[in-house]
Amino acid sequence: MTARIFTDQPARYRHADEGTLLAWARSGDEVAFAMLVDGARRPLQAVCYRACDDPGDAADACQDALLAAWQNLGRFRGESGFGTWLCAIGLNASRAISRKRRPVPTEVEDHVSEPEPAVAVDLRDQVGRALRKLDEPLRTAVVLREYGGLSYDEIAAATGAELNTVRTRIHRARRQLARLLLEVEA
Amino acid sequence: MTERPLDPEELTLLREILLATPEGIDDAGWDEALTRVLSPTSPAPMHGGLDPVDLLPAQWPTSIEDVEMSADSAIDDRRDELGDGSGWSVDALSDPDAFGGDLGLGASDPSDHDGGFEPFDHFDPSDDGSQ
Repeated sequence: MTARIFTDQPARYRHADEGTLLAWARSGDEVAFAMLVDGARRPLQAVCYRACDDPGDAADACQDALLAAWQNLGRFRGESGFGTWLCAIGLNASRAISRKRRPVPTEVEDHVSEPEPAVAVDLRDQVGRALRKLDEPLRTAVVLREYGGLSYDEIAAATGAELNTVRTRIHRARRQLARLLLEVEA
Repeated sequence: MTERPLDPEELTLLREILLATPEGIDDAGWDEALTRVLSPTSPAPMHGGLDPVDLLPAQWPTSIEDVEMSADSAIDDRRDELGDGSGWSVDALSDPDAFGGDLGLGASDPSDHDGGFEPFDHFDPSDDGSQ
């Protein structure tokens, strides 16, 4: 397979909808699969990069998610969009890699232990640091919502949490992020 | 203490900041990963150490109602454990982590909560949870 297999494809790929690409991919059509995942690339990468603390881990999580999706296309039942399903897999891949490469974090992190840098840093670092300050369940919920675009019930299904717990976690995560990034008062 | 939800302007600004700096691998890196995934002779290793099937979402709701019914069941179970009126407090009901974090508190009748509890304290007016 050559690089950039998504470009210069026959019109039948370019004009196919998700269901059609999925059917072709399930029959082993690699180009159809590549087109399918390319449509979900941005949210998948955002979820993995924000769920992992390390860019290398995030790239590995993306690849693991792609492999899991490719090998299990037959298990996708269309109960969500393909991109949503792929993001949920990406989250699980990120968690698996994080668990493997570092000790399991404590449930409640110390929100004040990380010293703030004396000099201004770019926005990307600020967002990353703010997300890392959230407890893992809060970060997971808000990452899936804001970066993956999952609905509340999809987040509940992906994380095994109850729907109202998801709502509360997203509310809390947003409040904490707003405090850290917007200096919104409590 | 109940925190107020972000107003729509704050939420919009927060989202703009969160999404302002997307990270990802470049086209070449993405294609390289895809090539490894699709290789029939030397498939990519799983970095997380799990079988690919273990990464699939455990379940998807068939409807929102299914999830809400599950939440209500969890609350009913917890009430059965605690008995009538004992152990319930405004503080506990305001804190979803008080019972382990997965009880879906707030889904039931707020009149059971002895006042003070705002069942929609986590409601963001500009976000209905839909796609």
